[in-house]
Amino acid sequence: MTGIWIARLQSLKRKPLLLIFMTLMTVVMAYVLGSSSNGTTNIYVALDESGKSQEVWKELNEVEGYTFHKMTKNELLLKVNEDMDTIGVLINEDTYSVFAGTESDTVRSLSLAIESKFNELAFKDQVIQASGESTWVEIEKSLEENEAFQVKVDAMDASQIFRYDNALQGLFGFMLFFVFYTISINVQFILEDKQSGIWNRLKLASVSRFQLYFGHLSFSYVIGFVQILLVISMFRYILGVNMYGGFWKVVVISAFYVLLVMAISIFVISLVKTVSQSSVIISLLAVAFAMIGGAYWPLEIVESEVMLVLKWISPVFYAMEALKRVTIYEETLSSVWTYLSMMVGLAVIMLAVGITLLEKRTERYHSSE
Amino acid sequence: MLQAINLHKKFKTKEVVRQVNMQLEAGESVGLIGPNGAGKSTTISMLSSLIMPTSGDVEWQGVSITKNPESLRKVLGIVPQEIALYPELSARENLAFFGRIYGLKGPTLNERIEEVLQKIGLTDRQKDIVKTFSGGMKRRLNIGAALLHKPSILIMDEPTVGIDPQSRAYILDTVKQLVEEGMTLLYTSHYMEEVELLCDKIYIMDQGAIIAHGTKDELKSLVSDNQTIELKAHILSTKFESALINQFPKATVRKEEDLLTVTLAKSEEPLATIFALAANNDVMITSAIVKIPTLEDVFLNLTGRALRD
Repeated sequence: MTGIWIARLQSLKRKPLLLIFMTLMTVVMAYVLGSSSNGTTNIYVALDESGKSQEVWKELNEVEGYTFHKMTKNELLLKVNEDMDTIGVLINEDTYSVFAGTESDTVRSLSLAIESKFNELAFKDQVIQASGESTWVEIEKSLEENEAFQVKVDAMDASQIFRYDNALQGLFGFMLFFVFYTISINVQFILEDKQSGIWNRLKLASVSRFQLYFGHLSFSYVIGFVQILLVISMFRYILGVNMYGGFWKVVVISAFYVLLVMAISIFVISLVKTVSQSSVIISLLAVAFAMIGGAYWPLEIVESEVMLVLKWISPVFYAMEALKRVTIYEETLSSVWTYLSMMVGLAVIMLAVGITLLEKRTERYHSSE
Repeated sequence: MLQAINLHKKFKTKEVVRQVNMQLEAGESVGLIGPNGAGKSTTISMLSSLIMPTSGDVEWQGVSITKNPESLRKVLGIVPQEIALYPELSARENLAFFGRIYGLKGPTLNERIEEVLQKIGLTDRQKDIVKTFSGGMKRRLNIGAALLHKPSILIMDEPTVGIDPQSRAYILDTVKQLVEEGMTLLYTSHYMEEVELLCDKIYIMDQGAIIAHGTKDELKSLVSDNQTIELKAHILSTKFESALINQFPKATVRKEEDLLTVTLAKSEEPLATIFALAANNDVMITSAIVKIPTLEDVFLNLTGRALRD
């Protein structure tokens, strides 16, 4: 097995462009498509001169998930007129206006956040007017120390609420799409070795079938996984994408996805005769799986019943859903165990069927003299 | 030694190898010839323990390799028809890879690599990437990869396919040297002259079965008891032709332009008589070729078609 790893690493060293290209493409595509927010939604804000507006502005900057940009009223009006996608807020002493091209979840939650800040300030004013500044200070101190009221806000079924993060959609979607190619191309080395006669040479050197498959598959797995780690680490720690505290959960889910893609790849090469045939099928599958699995767009906006049924055959769907759940929806790994177990189950079946078919095909190579 | 006993292989309903019996003694060089699809590669695969026969057995030192292939694999080197090398790796890296697979390491591995590189004449190109090699160099390295673990039996499946004459000659010299050093060889090829040059014993295979086997002379004697003499002369007169027929009544004489072909029994020694008849009839013979049957003729005679049809 070590010998196979050394040979594969030497080959990779001589021909690294494909891996570099796949990694770069993931980064570029995810960055371009997800850069409109970098994990947060950009909000453009104009304020009047009142103290209350300033206080609301200060409070707003504490709200997570948004990046607020301050500008003059005229600049704001010009920006929202020019760009329909811009979300703008005009804050006056007692009122506020939200400018948006469409009514969306983002707009609703932003309005709620601003309204709640206004309410907090109004409550503060009433306390000060009724009992003086010192009473408010005492109340504020008491609230901080004792957490007198602990209010938990929850929807009846939080998982049913559609949440969308442009940056993560782009990052996860393209990461899953491109790593499919990386892994499949690496698994194809098994087919190449079988066709070139290297496989038989190794068998005659008493290398067991398990060692042969394990050597190639473990290498393909590690290459795919390293690509994913590079991409998500770069987006999290260099570009600062918000993963909602779910970085390690993303790593774990990716490990399951890489396993499934590796298994699908071996199943594909077991059905074809040549590397070029397998390349064509892998390209078609990668695009199809990405489309129906929600890599390019969230499945929540898909209305076609057929597409929604087909998603169950896509490995991208299981990974994408699990990744979104543990990040955007801030759920735990145990809450996505169904997706994880589906990925493991499918991987086991595909590996078993693929290797069995490949072994039968090995005999057929001998009959094709 | 290595013995195939009633080897039979079926893929689904297709019988690829039928009741093949073969024997390789230590130090012997054996040729296996036959057209494409004759079943040579399948036979080799069974002999080398790569695939199991449908029925029959392969024995190495009297023990069945279907149950215990390890003992054979340790001493077996195989040169496949394909270039079974990593094209992105250098010649040395390829040899190191196959050496490591056979358990060689450290100074022993390096020493063996040097020896093999020298034997296949690639010492100067050892650091070059295989994909930049010519077809002949790749074939030589393909052989080298099978020699690293010092096998005592070498099975070569068409090792000179698609290469230039110089490389072919180099490979044949290398193989001949290996045989002289005591290597047991099983060599398959389309090229009769290669098998004639290298092998003591020859098996002829067609449609999955061995149709003849023996030494070169034994096989050639199967063809015919006749000999053919081709005569060329400045002017071939009909008088000379008639004289030949009168002298050798059982011979057939055929004339094509300036070429006269005489076929007659091997037992006769006609050259002196032919030259005397020519002198008597004022014919000046410019060349006389006594044609001995080749393995190609043997194959043609046995199967009714040429080997490379």
